[in-house]
Amino acid sequence: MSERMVRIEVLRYRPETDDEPTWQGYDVPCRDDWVVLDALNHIKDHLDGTLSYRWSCHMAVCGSCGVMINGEPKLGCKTFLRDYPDGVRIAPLENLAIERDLVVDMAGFGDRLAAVQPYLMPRGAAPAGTYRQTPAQLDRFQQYAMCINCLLCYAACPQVGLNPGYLGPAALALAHRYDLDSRDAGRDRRAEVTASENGVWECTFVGECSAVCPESVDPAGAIQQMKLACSLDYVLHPLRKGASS
Amino acid sequence: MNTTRPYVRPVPWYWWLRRPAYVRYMLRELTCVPIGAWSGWLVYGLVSLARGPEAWTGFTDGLASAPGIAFQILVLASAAYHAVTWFNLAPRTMPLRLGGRRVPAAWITLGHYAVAAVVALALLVMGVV
Amino acid sequence: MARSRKPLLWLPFAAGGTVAALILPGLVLLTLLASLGLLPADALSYERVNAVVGHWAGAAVTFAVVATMLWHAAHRLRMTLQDLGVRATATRRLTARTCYGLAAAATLMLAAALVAIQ
Repeated sequence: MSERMVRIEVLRYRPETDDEPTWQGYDVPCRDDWVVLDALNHIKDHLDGTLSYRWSCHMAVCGSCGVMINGEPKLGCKTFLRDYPDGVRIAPLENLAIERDLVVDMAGFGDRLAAVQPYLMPRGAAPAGTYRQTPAQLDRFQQYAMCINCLLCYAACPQVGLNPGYLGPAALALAHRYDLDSRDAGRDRRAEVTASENGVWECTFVGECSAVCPESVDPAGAIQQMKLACSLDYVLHPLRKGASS
Repeated sequence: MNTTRPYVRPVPWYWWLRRPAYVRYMLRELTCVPIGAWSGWLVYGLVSLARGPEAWTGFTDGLASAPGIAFQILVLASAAYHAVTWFNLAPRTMPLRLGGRRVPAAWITLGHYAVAAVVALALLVMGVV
Repeated sequence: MARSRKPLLWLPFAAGGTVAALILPGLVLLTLLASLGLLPADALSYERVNAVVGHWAGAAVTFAVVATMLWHAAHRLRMTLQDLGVRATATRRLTARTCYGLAAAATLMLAAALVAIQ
């Protein structure tokens, strides 16, 4: 396995000393099979221990290592350095506040997830034993359940950057996952939030959220389906505007 | 202890120039300008029709003028780009299921193209016959 | 948070966008070819167009096609202006009112013209 020197530029930000982020470069000896995360780990272990970033599984299931790589939101553990012969510029995910170096503020995202009530709200009492669901019923919502909360979609969505209150792709896709679940009857209650001004209506179907999603969730599709569903609701059931009891 | 002073990167008005996908999005959105202007001109055309043959001739002469033709070419290009993007996005807005299985997105898109082609053919036949 | 009234704007936008995608290319092709003289000279003659639009069904279709496209364009333009930086509350409201106001005015003129043609 051969090695080559790769130029890695990282956008640094230290709140205790910096007024604004600045670029810092490192020359990293990289193996052929390395991903961006391997280079970051090398920098932290051997070159600069002060570099801060999130990571965990190193296999694209935990969603921790999302960063901007040459201006595109990607998972660090899934982006191969051999695809970047001229080196990489790594920045924290766009549209989110920077806490330190590559670590972004995720508190707002947690609030948005909670706001869409991402849990089953069944009709009536639970069945004796388990719920039953056909493969077709599962197929309706399964794709929207695959989200790993990596926030690449928030970095890709310009409306997230332009409107700080916007719920965003992942939160709305999660709401849709529950709306489509045959066991759930909570669509009206979720619509209080998803059909509000900060919900689906901020979306203009740029579609980049779905383009960058590592799990093919297609949040853009989810949001358009919700726009259609709640528009038809609005027109066909105008009395059903308040919270249902 | 760490200082918490989150840095918010401002989004400039030219954010859409930063990635090719954003540029394509903005071009798609801007098709509404020629399309809206064309719709307005059609309204003017119908007002001319209501006024009588001479006003109508004035309208069709405008269509046949050099700027009129140039504008129609622009509208045609805008309508085509709008249609292509709209048809690609349609299956994601309205996923269809037949007999418990998903209809492939490509079929929905092709179905839209088919309808558009039939409409165009019908209009041209009406113009010729 | 309360439910937004956006559906009232989004449904015409979606309808107009579908109309614009399915019908507009053929329609502009028709007028362009006629304007270039590539169709029979009377393709867009007063008599022929009046015969179509003067019939109540033709008028209804014409109204549906043109009106939905007007509202589609108005809504898209309003959202695009917001994308381009018009986000302060006062200018947002002015932009919205201008876009939808123009569409409303054009729709009224359209209806008046079609009624007069009958």
